Amino acid sequence: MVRRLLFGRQPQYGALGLSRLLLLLVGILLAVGPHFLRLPVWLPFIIAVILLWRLAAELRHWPMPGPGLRVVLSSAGFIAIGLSYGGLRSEAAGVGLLITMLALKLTESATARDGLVAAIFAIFAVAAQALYSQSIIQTAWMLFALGWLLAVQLAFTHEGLSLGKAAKAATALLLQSLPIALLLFVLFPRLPGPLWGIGLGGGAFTTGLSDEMRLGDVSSLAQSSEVAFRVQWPGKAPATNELYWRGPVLWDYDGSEWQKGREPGLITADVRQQLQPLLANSAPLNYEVFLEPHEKRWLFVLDMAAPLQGLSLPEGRKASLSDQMQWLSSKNVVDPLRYQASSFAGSRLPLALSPRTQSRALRLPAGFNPKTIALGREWGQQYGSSAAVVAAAQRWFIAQQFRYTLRPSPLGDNQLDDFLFRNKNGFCGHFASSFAALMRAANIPSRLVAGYQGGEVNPLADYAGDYMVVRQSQAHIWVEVWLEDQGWLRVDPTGWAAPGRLTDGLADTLPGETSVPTLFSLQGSMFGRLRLNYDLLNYRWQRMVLSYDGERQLKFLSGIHPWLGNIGNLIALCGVLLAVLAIGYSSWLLRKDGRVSYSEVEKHWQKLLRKIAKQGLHQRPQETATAFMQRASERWPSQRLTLTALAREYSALRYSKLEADFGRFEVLATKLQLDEE
Amino acid sequence: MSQLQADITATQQALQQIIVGKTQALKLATTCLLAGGHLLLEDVPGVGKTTAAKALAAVFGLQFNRVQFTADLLPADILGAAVYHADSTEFRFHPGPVFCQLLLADEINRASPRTQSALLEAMAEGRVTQDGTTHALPQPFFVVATQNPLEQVGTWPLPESQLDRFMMRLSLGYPAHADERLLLQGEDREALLAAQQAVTSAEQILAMRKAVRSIHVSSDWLDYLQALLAASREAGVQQGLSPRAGLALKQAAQAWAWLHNSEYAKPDDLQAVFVAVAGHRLGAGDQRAGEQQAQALLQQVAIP
Repeated sequence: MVRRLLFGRQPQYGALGLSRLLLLLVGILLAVGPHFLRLPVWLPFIIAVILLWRLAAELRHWPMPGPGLRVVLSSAGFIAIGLSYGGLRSEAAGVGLLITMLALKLTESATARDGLVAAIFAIFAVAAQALYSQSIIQTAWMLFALGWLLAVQLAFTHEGLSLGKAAKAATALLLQSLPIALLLFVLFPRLPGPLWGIGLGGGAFTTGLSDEMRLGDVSSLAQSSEVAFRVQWPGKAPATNELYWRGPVLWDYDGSEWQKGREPGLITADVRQQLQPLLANSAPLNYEVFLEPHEKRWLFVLDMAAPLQGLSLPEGRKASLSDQMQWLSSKNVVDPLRYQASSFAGSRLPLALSPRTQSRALRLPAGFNPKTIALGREWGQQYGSSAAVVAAAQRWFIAQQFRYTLRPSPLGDNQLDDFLFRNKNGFCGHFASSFAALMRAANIPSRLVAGYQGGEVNPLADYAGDYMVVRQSQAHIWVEVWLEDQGWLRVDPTGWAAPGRLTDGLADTLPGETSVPTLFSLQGSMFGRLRLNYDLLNYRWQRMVLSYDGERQLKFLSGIHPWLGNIGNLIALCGVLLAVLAIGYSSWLLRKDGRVSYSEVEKHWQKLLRKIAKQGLHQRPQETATAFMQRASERWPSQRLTLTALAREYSALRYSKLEADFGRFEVLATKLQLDEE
Repeated sequence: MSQLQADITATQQALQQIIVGKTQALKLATTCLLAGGHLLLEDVPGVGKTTAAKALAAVFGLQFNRVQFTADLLPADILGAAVYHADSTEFRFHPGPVFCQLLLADEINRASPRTQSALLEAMAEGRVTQDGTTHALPQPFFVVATQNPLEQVGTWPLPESQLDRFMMRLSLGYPAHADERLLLQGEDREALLAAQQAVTSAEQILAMRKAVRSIHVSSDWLDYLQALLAASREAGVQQGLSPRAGLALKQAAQAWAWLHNSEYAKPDDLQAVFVAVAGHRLGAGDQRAGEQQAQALLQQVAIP
């Protein structure tokens, strides 16, 4: 009894067939592979073990686990997933569970039908990939995986179907579904809000800015060429060194780390009042941002985005401006977001500082960096105005001949002292924190701003205006100092030490430094061009497909006809179209009386006859299919089964009342091997 | 395979135990029974016509009667007659041997045409009318008539119109060498027949006939049947196949298909029964010529 529970009644696997099993295993890998990095570390190993074990079981005819063992395995899967994700209620845990059960399904897949079920199951894992990324590569991958799994299903339902035929049929199926998919894509009413906006955290976003900075953090970002966001300008893009994309503001420094401290508040009405005359005097810069999901609320805009009109976001999304002049979305950005913004480049931010804010912007940790503090104090006493102190600092930074590098020498306890007076090498984080500390020591309120600097115009784009990519490698940190009567003024000490960083981007600043991804140094080469092309493709994909949300849909459709610009009408139209499709298809099926048309059958039969006739055997007009195939199998005895089955299928197609399976006839026809014997 | 089809397979095995080596003829005879037709066995004496009829009755569980046809046989000898009963002072109908489920009409061509036609009417109608009273024959009613082609003296050959009433004409023929050896070595046929248990019942045969009628014939198939019928009529000199022959062909082919576990009739089924069903209706009384014509038709007519 125990034995039976452990090993089941069926002694072994085998009905699946090695080649079809391999197809299925590859299909499952295609479905779960992209999830691997997001899964708990143990799961990919377990999956690999199950896949290999299943393959070995097929080869060695190992016994398959019985119901008892399978119950134990799946319960263990549930518990392990629950423990790894801390419960089963999150979407990420759901995906993990789906993948675990998909792998376990293999342990009980013994028949072709089981294989079919596993292949259908795997399609859900493919669909789950869209929860994490909808880039063009991802979409292409998903389409490929879908096609593969369709082919696997065909292989399981049609015994003996060759891989080529299965692939062809699967491609045909995908192509046939394309018009319906396109129709539904354009017409099917979008729900307001993101379709996939269901908060998949848990390591889905590995790169992106953070609202705290240790010296070293930005450097790891600098090595990632992932796209942070894209910008479409109406005309020519501004110069690179004017492009400061504002992110979180960091206030509090404890000697090793900068943090944003308390949550920023909303901009107050009187600040708005103060801003108004300033903004009225300068012309705004308009542009459109395509933000990649980054799991935070920050919306990157140029210093300083119009605080009055706000951003224009898709319907259902809200954003607000903080008192630190940062735009924040009401929800975390978990799907690609498209918004228009207008900014006043180069404007200052005139705010009066409250005493509390002032003391916060002057605070330095006690007992750290004595040399730096001493230098700052000295400047503060030496120069009368804050502006003179900043100018002196600039002169000093240039004179010191700092070296910009992404591989700074190690720092001791007094990080800033070590950097400024001993190592003299570092990157933006080092420059910004030491400059801010110097200013605070000189009694000038200062803070750090994290964000992105620059942007890469794609010369291949044929849009009316410049199209620009901002990558994670362009993450940057700069300083804002508060000057009497002028408000917060942006100062970028990195620019003093390494002016190229701001004008030419990272690669030219760092000649010969290998830690920069090779891609950066290939600008202009063929590979660089390829990368630009790929990026453009992705941009178009995002512009045309991903950002086609409810609002754009209605706008687009009402442009075609005003009647279409109404969700109710759209739902009705989709319903009618789908009903017409369904009725049309079913009546087509009915008219054919559930069978392939006579001429279609006859065409394939004649093709088969020609194939046999080439070997010198001809059907007599009065000879029935059965009799002819009988004669043929006397000539090719090894093909007897196929030949008689072909005659049976042909007769069934022509003479039976039941729905005949044309596929079986085709499969048999391809299986037929007529060699000279 | 349905239970009925399993049963019919069992009957074929049982029949082959008794009639050695005549698989095809026995299948055709069964087909004739299932299609609701009547069977004419034509052969030289001694090849087992009578044994075959008895075996059919025994295996299919049919109530069996035998009438030996002679020149002086009268219709009432077959159908039965009204007999005066002195005790009740009235005429009462006494059923003749025709009131059975399997009637063996041995040497049918020895009887006078009057007697022959009396039987053939009963076969066609399924009932007997005597003195204005109609008596239904039992169901199923299956006539196996035998005739002897060589003994032409003292016989009245069946006219074509009456031959048409038989669905099939079969010849058993001499057994093959090995089969004959088995026959010679084996048990006495009469003893085998006596020991034979019925495999089916009359009710089952009626159910089988119903199943046979539901066998699908497609329009493609009917095209082929009609092409054969048309070709027989174009042959010219002799009489072609009648619509009744067409119906018989269809029913026989359906039964043949059902017998072979098919759910629909194929051209193969039609070809298999064609000579047996059409042979005696062609050739204007010349038996061999009729069969040859039927064969020729199969060779000439292409399957559409």
